[in-house]
Amino acid sequence: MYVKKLNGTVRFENVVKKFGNFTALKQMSLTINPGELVTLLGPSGCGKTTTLRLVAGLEAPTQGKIFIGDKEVTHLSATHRNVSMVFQSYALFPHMTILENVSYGLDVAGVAKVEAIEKAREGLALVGLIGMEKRLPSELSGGQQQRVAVARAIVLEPEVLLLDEPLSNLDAKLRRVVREEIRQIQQKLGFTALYVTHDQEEAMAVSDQIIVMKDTEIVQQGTPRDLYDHPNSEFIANFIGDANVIDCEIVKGEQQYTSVMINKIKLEIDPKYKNIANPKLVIRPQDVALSNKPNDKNLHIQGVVQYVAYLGSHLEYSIDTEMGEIFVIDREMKTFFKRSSHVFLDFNLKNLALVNH
Amino acid sequence: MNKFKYGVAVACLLVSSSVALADGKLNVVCSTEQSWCDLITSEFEKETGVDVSMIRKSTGETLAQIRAEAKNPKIDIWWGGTGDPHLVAAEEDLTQPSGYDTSKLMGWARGMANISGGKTIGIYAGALGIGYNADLIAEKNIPAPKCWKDLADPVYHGEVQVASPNSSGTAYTELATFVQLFGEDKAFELLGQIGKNVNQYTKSGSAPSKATARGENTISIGFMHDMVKLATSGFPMKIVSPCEGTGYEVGAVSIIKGARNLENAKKWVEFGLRPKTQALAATVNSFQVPSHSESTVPPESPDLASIKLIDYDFATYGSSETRKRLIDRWNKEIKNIAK
Amino acid sequence: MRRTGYFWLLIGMVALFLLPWYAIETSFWNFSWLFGSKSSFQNKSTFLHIYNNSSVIYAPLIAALLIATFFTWRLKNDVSLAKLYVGISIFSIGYIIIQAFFLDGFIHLAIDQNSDGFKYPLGLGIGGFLTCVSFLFLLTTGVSGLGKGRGDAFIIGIIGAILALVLVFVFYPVSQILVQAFTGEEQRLDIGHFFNNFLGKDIWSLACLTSSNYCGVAFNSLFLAVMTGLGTTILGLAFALVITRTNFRGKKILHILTVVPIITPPFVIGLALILLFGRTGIITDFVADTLDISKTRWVYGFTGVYIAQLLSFTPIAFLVLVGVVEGISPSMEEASQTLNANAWTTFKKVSLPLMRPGLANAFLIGFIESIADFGNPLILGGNFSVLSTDIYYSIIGSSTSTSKAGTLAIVLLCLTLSAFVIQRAWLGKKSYSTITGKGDSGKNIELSPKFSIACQSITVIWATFTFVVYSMILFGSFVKLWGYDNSFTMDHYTRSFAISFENGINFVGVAWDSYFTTLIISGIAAPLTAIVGLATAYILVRQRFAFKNSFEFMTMLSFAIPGTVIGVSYIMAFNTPPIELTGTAIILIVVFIFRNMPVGVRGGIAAMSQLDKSLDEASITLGANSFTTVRRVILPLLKPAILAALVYSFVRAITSVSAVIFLVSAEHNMATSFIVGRVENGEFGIGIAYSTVLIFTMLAVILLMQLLIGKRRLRSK
Repeated sequence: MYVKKLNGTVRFENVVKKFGNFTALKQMSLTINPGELVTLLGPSGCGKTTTLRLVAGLEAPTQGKIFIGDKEVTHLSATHRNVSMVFQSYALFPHMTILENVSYGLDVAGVAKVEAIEKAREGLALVGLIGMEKRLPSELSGGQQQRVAVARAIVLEPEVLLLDEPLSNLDAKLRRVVREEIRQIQQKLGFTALYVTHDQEEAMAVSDQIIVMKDTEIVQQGTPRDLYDHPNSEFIANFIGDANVIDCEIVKGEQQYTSVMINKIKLEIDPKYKNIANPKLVIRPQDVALSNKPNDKNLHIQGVVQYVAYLGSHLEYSIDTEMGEIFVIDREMKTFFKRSSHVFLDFNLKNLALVNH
Repeated sequence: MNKFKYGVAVACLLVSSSVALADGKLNVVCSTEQSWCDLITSEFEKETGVDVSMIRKSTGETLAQIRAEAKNPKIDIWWGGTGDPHLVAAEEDLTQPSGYDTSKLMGWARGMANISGGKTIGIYAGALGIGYNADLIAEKNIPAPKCWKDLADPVYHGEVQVASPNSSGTAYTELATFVQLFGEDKAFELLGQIGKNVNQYTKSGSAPSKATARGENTISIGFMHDMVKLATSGFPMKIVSPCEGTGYEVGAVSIIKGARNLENAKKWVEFGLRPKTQALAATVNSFQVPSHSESTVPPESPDLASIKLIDYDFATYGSSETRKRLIDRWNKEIKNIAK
Repeated sequence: MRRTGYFWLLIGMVALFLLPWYAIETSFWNFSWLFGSKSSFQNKSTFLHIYNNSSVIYAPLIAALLIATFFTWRLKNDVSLAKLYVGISIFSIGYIIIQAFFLDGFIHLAIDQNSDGFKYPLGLGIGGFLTCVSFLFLLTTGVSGLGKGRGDAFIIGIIGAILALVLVFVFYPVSQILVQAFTGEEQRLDIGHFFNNFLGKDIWSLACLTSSNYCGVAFNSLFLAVMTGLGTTILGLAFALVITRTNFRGKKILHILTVVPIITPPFVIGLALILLFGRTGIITDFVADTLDISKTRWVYGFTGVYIAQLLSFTPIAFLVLVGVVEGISPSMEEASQTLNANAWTTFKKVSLPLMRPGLANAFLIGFIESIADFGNPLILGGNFSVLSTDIYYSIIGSSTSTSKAGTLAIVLLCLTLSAFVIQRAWLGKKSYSTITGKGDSGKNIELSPKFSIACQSITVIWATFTFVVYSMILFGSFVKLWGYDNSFTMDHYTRSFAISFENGINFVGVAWDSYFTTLIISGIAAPLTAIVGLATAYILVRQRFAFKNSFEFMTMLSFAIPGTVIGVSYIMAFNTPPIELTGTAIILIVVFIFRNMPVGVRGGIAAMSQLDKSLDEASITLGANSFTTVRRVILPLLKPAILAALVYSFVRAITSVSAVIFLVSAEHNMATSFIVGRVENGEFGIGIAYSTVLIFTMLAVILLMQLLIGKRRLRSK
C-alpha cells in the first residue's frame, strides 16, 4: 500500500477545555513530531481522551489554538480535518459489511467506487482480513473487529491517526498481538499516530514518545526509556514500570555524588540529583540484588522475605527491610530464597534516581 | 449541504399559493344536514353560475370560526343551523343585514330578522318533542309519555336522556321552553324531578334521540324533525308532541360581515328563501317547516299547526344575559341530580 | 462559509427584489407580479414597488443585503464576517417582524379595502417568506462560523430551522389561545379572573371519592391518562415481546392486528364498542340473558372510554417499544445469563431497565394521547367529563367562553408538563445505548416459559378482541341499519365510491373528493413530519445547546393540547397577516406536521439513545459531513423509528378530526370531517363504509412503506 508522505505534526498552544464549570483540560501545550507514535498515558479522568477528541475536532477548545501540519485547525470541523480515529468501541457501522465499513471514508471523499474498493481491500490485506469482506461486524471476533476499525482509519491515509484505547476490549494475549501489528503498520506506513491508553506496558511497547497526564495536565513527556530512567516525580516513577519509592534526605557537601540518607543507611548516587528540594529515592525492582551474605561494600541492608513468586522468566520478592517494604525482581534466579529467610540487599547505585516529592 | 439547500428551495416554492378570491365565487358554511347542503349548493350553482365553495360545519364550530376570523373573514354566508348562534353572531356584530324583504315570511322567521336588525333571517322551524323507543317501552311494559310532566314519573327511572345546556343549543331551547311554559321556579322544580330519571346529560343535542333509536336509551328530548328522520330510516322511534305545548328553534341564514362576495351572498339569501327552493328540502329527508308562507310543508314534517307551540320569546331568551343566568342556575340546581 | 453565505444572500436578493412580498390573489404561475403593473398593491414584486415609488419599507432590508454581500466579498477575516452575518440577520429578521406586525397596519400600505370599507390586511407572500428564510440561514451560517456547534453549518442550520418552525407554528398559535385564559370580560387582562377559573371546584373537586357527586375534570382526565398510559405500555410491551422474542405462530396476523386500531377513523371504535357492550349490545345481551340480570348502560363512563383508549393507543406503544426491544444488545443479556441469572431475572434486571427510555416514552405518549383524546370520551363518556371535551364545548357549546377554554387548556398543559418532568426524572442521566460500534453477535434470549405464556395469552386475548371489533365494523358497512336492520346491502359503498365509465372515468361517488384530498395532504404531510420529528430528535439527543429542555417541551406542546384548541388557535394565529394560511391546504399540512411531529421526536429519541455516539463520530472523523453521516449511518440504523414516524404521521393525518374540523375549507375537505358529518346526520352506513375503505387504503400504504424502507440489518439471520 502506498502512502503519501502527509504525516503531520500536531501542536497545541495553551489549549484549555471546559465543559460548563468543569475543567477537562488545564492549559496544555504540546508538539508531536511527524511520523512518531505518541502515547497519551494516564489514569482515567486525566484528560487524555479529551485531548484526543480536540485533535479529532470532536470537541472545540475553550481557549488556545490547535495546529495540524502547518495549518491552524482550531475552528475547523472534524469532517474537514485530515485525521482519522479508531474508537474504543470500534464504532463499526453495524448495518454495513466489512468492505463497506472500510471503504466508507473513501466513498464519502468522492473516490471512484472501483478505486475505493481496491484500496479498502488493500487495507484489509494489511490487517490480514482478506476473505471477510462480505461479513457484518457482528460476525467477527473482537480482534477482527479491532483490525477492521484500524483498516477503516488508515485507508484514508490521514495526516494523523488517533487511537482511543484501541485494545481495551481485547484479552491480554490478543492485545499484545494487535498492538504489535499496529506498531508495525505505523512504522511501515510512517504516519503520525496519537494513541490513548491507561496501560503503561502497552504505552512502553508501542510508543516513540509518551506523554503522561494527570489531573488534566501533562506531567512528563519523553521516550519510554527517559521516563523509566529519569522520572520527574513519584507519580511517574510509580506509573511507568514498578518502583520502590522511599523517603530520604540529601547529605550536603559532597561533590562527586549525591549522598542520601535513609534512616541510618547512606547511599551515594548520581550527582545530578543534588539540588532536589524534597527528595524521594526511586529503586527499580531489578536494580536490587539479593544474597545470603553481606557484600564487601560495607552496606549492610538486611531483610526478611515476605513473599516470593516464581513466574518462569523471573522471580518476584517482597522483602521487609528497615527502609520499608522493597519489591525485587530477580531475573538471574541463581538462588531461591524461601519465605521468611534472611537476605542481604545490594543496589545497582548508578541506576537509582531521586525524584521531587 | 447542496441537497439540503435545494430541498429548502423547493419547499419555499410550495408555499406560494393563497386563497383564491376571484369574482363569481361564494364561500358557504352550511349547518343543515349534509345532503340538503349538497343539493341547495348545486341548485344555486346551476341557476346563477356562481362557483360555490361549500363546507358543512355544525353551528358551534361555525360560530367559533367566524369569531376567530372576524378581522379577516373567509366565509361569505352561513346557511342553516339553529337560530341562537346566528343571533349571537348578530349581537357580536359578526354578520351584516342582507336587505331581504321579509314580508312574505312566516311570523317566526320575520321575528328573527326583527330582533337582529335584519342580520339574520329564519329559514325553517322545528319543534321540540319527546321521542321514545317503542320496542323498549313494550319490553319494559311501561306507559309511553304524553306530556313533559310525565317524564318526572319514577317509573322512568334511568330511562330518560337529555342534552346538557352547557354544550347543546337544543338543550338550552328545552330549558327556555320549560321556563316559558311553567315559570322559572316551577320549571326548575320539574327539571329537578325529571333529573332523577336522567341517565346521562349528553354533550350533543342530537345524541339522546340517536341513542333512543338504537335502543341504548328509552326516552329522549330533542327536535322532532331529527326524530322523524330516524324513524323514516327504520328505527322503532315514536314521536310525541307534549300535551303542555312546546318550544321550537328557528333555523337561520346570515351574511358574514366583511364578506368578499357580498352580491352573490345576497343572491344566495334570496334563492334560499324561495318557496321552490324550500320545497326541495324534503326530497333529501329534511323535514323542518319552511319559512316562506307560500312554501309547501312536507307531509312527514311535524305539523306545526297540530302542535301546541308556545309564543317563543327569542328576544328575551336569545340574549346572552338570560342565557348565562339560566345555565348557571341549571348547573347549580340540576346538573348533579342525575346519576 | 463564504460559499454558503453567497448562496443565501443570492436567495435573499431574488426573494426581495423579484418575488412578490405579499400573498398574491391571482395565480402565482402567470407571473403578472413580475411584469404586470395593473395589479393591486399586493400583487407586486419589490422591483415593481420600487418602480412605483413605494419602496420605503424595503430600504433597511435592501441595505442589509448589500452590506452583507459587500463584506462577504471584501472582508478577509472569517470570524469578523461571521459576526457581521449574525448582526445583520438578527437586525433584518427583527425588522421584518416589526414591519409585519406594526408598520404595515400603521402606514396602511398593506391593506386592501373592499367597496363597503371593510379592511383586509395582507399576508406575507413567497417573497417575504423566502427573505426570512435566507436571513435565518445566514444567521445560522454566521453562528457556525463563530465556532459554535463544532463549526458545523448543517447542524446549526437544522437547529435554527427547527427552532424557527416550532416558534412560528407551535409557540405562536398556542400562546394566542393561552392568552385568552387571562382575558376577562371586556377583553382586558385579568389575573384574578384566571385564578378564579383555574382553581374552580369543577376542575379540581375530589367529591366523587367521598360522595355521589362528580369529581373535577382535571382529576378525571389525570386518572384516565395514567391508567391508559400504564395499560397501553403493558399491552404494547407484551405485543413487542411476543413478536420479537417468542416463536408464536400467528406473529404476522398479530402484527397486522396491532396496527389496525391506529388506522381507524375516530368514532368508529366507539360505535363498535356500543354495539358490543351498549345496553342493547351483543355481549351485554348475551351476558344479561345467561345470567338473568337486567341490562345496564355500564359501558358509558370511565369503563367505556378506557377500553376504547386502550384499543386506540396500544398500537402506538407497540410501535415505540418494538424497535427498543429489538435493539437490546444480546451480549448484555448473555452477560447476565453467564452470571447465573435465569431468563426471568435477566429480563427483569437487565432487559427491562435497558428498555426504560422506550417504556417511558411509550407511557408519555399514551398519557398525552389519552389526555388529549376527544372522540372516545364524546361517544362513550356518559357523565364522565374530561378536560378535552370540556374545552371543546367551551369553544363551540351553547355558552361559550374562550377564557374558560384557555384556562382548561392551561390545566391540561400543567398535567402534561408534570408527566414530562416525572418521565425525565425517572430516566435520569443513565446511559441506555445498546447499539454500539462493536458488532454484536448472538441472539436475544427467549422469555422465561411462564412469562412467555403470560405475554402470549394477553396478546391473544387482546388480538381476538380487536378482531371482533373490526369484524363488527366491516359487517356494519354491508348492512342497511347497523345494529338494527341487518339485511345485506352495497348501497353505502356505491353511494360513496361509485365510478361511472360513461365518457371516460368519472368519480361520481360522494366521498371521492375528500378521499383524494385526504390522501394527497396526508401523503405530503407524512414525510415532512417524519423529517422534522427525527431531525428534532437528532439535535435533542446529539447536540448540546442552551435551553434544550424548554425546547424539547415546546415541541411537545402542540401534541399535548387537544386538537380543538390547536384548531382554533391556528385560526386565531394564521387567519390574519403576517402569516395567512387559512383556507389553504398548507394550513392542514402544517397542523399535521406539528401535531404529529412529537411522536416522531419521542420515537426518534428512544431509538437514537440506543445508538452509541461514537458511530456518528467515527463517520465524521472519516471525513463524512453531518449530512452524509445522518444519511448513511444514522438513518439506516433508525429504520424502525422512521417507519414508525412515517406510518404514524400518515395515519394520524388521515384519522385526526378535532384539529381539522376548524381548518377544513370547501376546497380542502378531509375524510374525517366528511365522516363525522355523516355520523352526526345518523348516516352510519356511509360513515362506516368510508372508514372501511380508509382502513384498507392505509393498510396498503403502510405495507408499501414497509417495502420501501426495508428492514434494519444488524445481525445476520
